[in-house]
Amino acid sequence: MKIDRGVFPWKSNSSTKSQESNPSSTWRLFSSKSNGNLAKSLTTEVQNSLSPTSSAANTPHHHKRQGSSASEKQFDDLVASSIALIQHDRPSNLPAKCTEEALRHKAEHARMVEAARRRVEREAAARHARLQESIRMEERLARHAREWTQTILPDWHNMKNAKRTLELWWSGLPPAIRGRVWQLAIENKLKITHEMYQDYVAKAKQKLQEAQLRRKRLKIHAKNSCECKNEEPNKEDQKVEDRLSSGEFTKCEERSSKRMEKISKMDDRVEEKTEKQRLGLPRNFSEQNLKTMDVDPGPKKCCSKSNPNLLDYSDECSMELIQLDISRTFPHLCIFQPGGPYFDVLHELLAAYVCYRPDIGYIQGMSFIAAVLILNMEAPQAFVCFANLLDGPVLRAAFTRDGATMQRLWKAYSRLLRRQLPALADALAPELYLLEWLYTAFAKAMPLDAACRVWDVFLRDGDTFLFNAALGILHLYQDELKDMDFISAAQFLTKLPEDLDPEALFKSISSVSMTLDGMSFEELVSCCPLDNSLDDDNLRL
Amino acid sequence: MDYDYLIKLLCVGDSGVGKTSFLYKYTDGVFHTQFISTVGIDFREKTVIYQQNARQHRIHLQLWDTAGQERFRSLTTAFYRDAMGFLLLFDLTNEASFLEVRNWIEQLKTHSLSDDPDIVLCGHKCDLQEKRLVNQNRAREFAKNYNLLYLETSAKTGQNIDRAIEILLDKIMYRMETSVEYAMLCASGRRRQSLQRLQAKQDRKLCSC
Repeated sequence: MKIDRGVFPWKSNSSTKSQESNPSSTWRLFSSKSNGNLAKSLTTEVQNSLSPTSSAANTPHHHKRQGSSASEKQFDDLVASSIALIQHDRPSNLPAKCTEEALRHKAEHARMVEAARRRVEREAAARHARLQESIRMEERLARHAREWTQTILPDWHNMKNAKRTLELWWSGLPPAIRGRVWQLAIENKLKITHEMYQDYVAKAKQKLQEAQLRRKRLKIHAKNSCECKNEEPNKEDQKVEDRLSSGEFTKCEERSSKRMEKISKMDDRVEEKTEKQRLGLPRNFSEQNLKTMDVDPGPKKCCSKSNPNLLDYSDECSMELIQLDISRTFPHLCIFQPGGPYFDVLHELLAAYVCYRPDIGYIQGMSFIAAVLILNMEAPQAFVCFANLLDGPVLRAAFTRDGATMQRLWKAYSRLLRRQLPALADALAPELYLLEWLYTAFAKAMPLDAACRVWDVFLRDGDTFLFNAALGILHLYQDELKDMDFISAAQFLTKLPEDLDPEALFKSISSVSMTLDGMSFEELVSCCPLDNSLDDDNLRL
Repeated sequence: MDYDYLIKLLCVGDSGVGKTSFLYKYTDGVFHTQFISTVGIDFREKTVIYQQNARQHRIHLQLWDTAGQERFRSLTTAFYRDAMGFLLLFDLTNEASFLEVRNWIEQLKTHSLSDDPDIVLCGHKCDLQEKRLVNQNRAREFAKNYNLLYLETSAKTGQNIDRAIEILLDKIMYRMETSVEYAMLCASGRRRQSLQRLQAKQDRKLCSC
């Protein structure tokens, strides 16, 4: 319809010779010259209705002859003027068209206009359908939200396993009640109170302050001492500390244990071999776990002796790595960056966790998990959920780097994958995508909406669902993945398309069977034999 | 894609030293100020033309970007095995990341295919002169002791980014020239066949002695 009207000015003005003699005149110029208000009012409308792609239909014939393959950019420039210049007759300075040609052009033009009109109609219909769909979605969510708040939540204990509840849950929690349902689903087996959270936050803050003071002192101290190439242990330590003070980009939690190694090395360089072996073998060995370190023979003994404040130091290091990572968490949202509304919240939560579980400390990936929780609930609740979530079987294994359990999970997953999607199992090592998926519970790889949908069911069904979702994603994209080399595939999977449709994903997830030869995933995990020979080379899982 | 050699390089170093930006700058020529932390492993790719003894090779570079946190190290070392060369980065404005270099070298020696892997050491973020904490001579001296090549790089200005990879390629190509087996690892199908023939020939020669 718009097109018909848009073409109208051309018809009414086609005889205006002034236009014809000036083919470079623009639409604006034209419309300003035109006498009627109509043309003016139509200007914008025409421009709106003529998207670059549809403009081909409205290109005047002399452009058409140049080839309809002219670039869209060109069209953009031409669209405005061309509509005004479409004409049945050639300009007066050129020989007139023969009747046959004029008729043919007229017919061609009519065809093009018709095609454009149909296209616009199709697009409008699609837009309308999308709008209707989103309205339906909104309505459905509102209906569901009512059902959740009125019937399910008040009677949670009886309702939580009802068929209807599980169905509603699967179809996605309405954002309004998502946080509440997540909290109920995660439960609080660790019995963490909000007061405990505040205590941990206070403790963390105090530690940070102490550290800052210490650093300031050391900085002054270090300034007085000259730089020296031969690093004695003390000096080196000092430099580390000094360095920590001045860099925002200090990552250090790793440094704590490394520093000990360094010291031990200097104390006893012959021990280097031992250290090398140990480094290769930290699978179920949490470097932050000081108890383990103390009982471990060799160089570590002396370092724990020489560093009575080690725990503080490592905490402090965790804190700094957290700071570095927060700004690298969902950077596109611009809310976790310094100065953003959630920077402090996320920092406090993670720092509090380091105080709560110094044996685990901070591990990359945690910031994403905590961020998703913070986006859905208040900080204290988010902390309770975070701590309990990380205590689940899969995430606990991942974050404590329990090699044996991870190996079992990996094997079970690989077996399922080989059965379900044999082509992919051969083409792509799970390490390349599954590590990231697990350590961030899909929060980093997926668009946030879809990730929250996955979390809904992950919190409903437990950690095993992470593997179910993983297989579901591969299943959904198996055609795309088939044609990719492994690098593209890994890149694709760790940054899934923005338009990932949660409905399609969930359909795919439910189509994937999580049983193999009559065994559930849990059974597969528990019956997977451990391959001891692989102990040396880390994640072969 | 058509290439003569596929070479896999691994980028390692402490968290936050700028591994991802280094690789982005190299492959895409852009410097992002907004970062997302690397959890696990990530990749970049680039095909380059390499001139060797008046011959041109098309080399497809596979650049593996690893998570820097030590706790992830036990997970990422598995990827070291088939890397042909390493870019070892530290942050010139972060002394601790420099002190870590020694440990990284140990890691690379332990987990890579070769006992003496090809490594280029890069002091990164050299554009931040006023924040610099690692003196150039000190880093040079260190690199010399460990027999590494040392460069100061910046993803922001692009300084030495290409150079670092070229130098690493030189080392790898030299190694390939001197070891057919090593070359087999990297060669694409067609090249691999000819190398196999070459090796067969060498084997026959040995037999006849």
